[in-house]
Amino acid sequence: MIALNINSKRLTDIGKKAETVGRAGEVAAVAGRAVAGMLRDYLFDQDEERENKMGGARTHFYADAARSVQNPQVVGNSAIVSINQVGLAQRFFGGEIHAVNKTFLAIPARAESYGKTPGEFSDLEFVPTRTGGMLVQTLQTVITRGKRKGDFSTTTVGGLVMYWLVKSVNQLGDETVLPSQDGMAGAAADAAESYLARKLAEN
Amino acid sequence: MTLDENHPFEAALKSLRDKKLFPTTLDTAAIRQQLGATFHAQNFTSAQNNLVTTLDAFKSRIDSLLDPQIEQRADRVTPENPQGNVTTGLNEAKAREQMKEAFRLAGYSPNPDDAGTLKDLSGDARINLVLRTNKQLAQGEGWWLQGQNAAVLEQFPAQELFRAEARAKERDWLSRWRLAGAQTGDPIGTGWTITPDGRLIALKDHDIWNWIGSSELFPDALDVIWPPFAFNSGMWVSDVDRDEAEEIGLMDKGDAAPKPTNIISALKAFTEKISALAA
Repeated sequence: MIALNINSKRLTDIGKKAETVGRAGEVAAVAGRAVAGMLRDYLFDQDEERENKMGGARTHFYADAARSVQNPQVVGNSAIVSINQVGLAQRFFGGEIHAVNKTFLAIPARAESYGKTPGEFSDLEFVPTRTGGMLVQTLQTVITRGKRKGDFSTTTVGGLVMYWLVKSVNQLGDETVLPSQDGMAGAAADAAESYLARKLAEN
Repeated sequence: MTLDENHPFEAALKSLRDKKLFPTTLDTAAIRQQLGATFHAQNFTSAQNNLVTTLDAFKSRIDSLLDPQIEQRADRVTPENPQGNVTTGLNEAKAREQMKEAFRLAGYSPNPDDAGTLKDLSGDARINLVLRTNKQLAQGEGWWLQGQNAAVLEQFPAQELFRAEARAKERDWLSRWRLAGAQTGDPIGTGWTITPDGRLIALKDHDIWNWIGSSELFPDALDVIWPPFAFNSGMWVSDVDRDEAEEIGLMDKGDAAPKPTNIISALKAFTEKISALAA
């Protein structure tokens, strides 16, 4: 989960103006919805742009993040908008991840293992390496029978590295997974201003 | 940007938590036929799954997917994150792994001909479908509920139906939109529209939202008035503001904005429409 605290001088000024005409609550609701909407649209765009580099079935991480955005909570002159998605904060802030309650972190090595846990495979074996290890598909012999009796051929399959096992990884932060705070504050202020102008024109 | 407090998506969580477990041997079509149009909005079920422990396990896993927590861990302290806050909770892969175990503990094994297909309750495809559909239904309902605010509806009186996730075989939502629009009796441009560049937009209180997710028109629909509207649709909605709604002709200056609706009235209206068509 990541919480974004959105405020700006322009938003504060609009808030003050709204307060004088008794519409502070309405303007805050509109500004908050505008931020949430912009954030959702941005994350859906990221989902389209950031495909899984290894290929394979997509997990739609960013679309999941977009759907987890809710209307912000308004606290004073700020709107706090949260994204209830495990992993997004890690991508934004970066940092070192250590294995917790287990010996290794499992890093997918192939498209087939992306978006899956090692526990979902029944044919992996541990092969130690100097820095950790790897989970490799066990070798299996497949027998293909021919048309005539006694005809058959054998093929060995497996042996592919499915996961790299490491004690920790250091991920670089990427601030572009989220829109800029100025951009979000701008979207909030535009919507709030537009709403307030309409209301004032009605009176 | 901070990472210091839990702000759960309460409206989505409430949608999920309010649902009652409903084990059943019925398939999707029979559930609709026998249990009514709003059944899915009120019950947590999965076609032909009468193993209550697995339904309960699904519900709690989806709850965890919707509601990650923040923990403080010494190993995650950095200058940018001095308290070592870290988001924890299930991801979909872990939830799927746990569900496979739940089916094993329930003594379930699929018919050999069905293994790995959607009929296999413990297969990847089926577990993914149940996890994703129910999670997204809760999020869709949560967003809908949070939008029922007079000022929000005034500023954002319309919404766009759009493709949020690509699919290998994409269903024709443009045709569905036309069909749902025609079903309302309103000509295109009257409360619902297709813009010259192909965007599907309607006022939030327009009848088209009662039809786009209706199984009376579309067999794969989920009988809801919020996204994802149909199983594995990849579709979602986005707010459209007043200026744009006027620009594309859905509203005139001075037109009243949609009024907030409570969920009971909305579902009642949905059921009445569907019942009238079925009669």
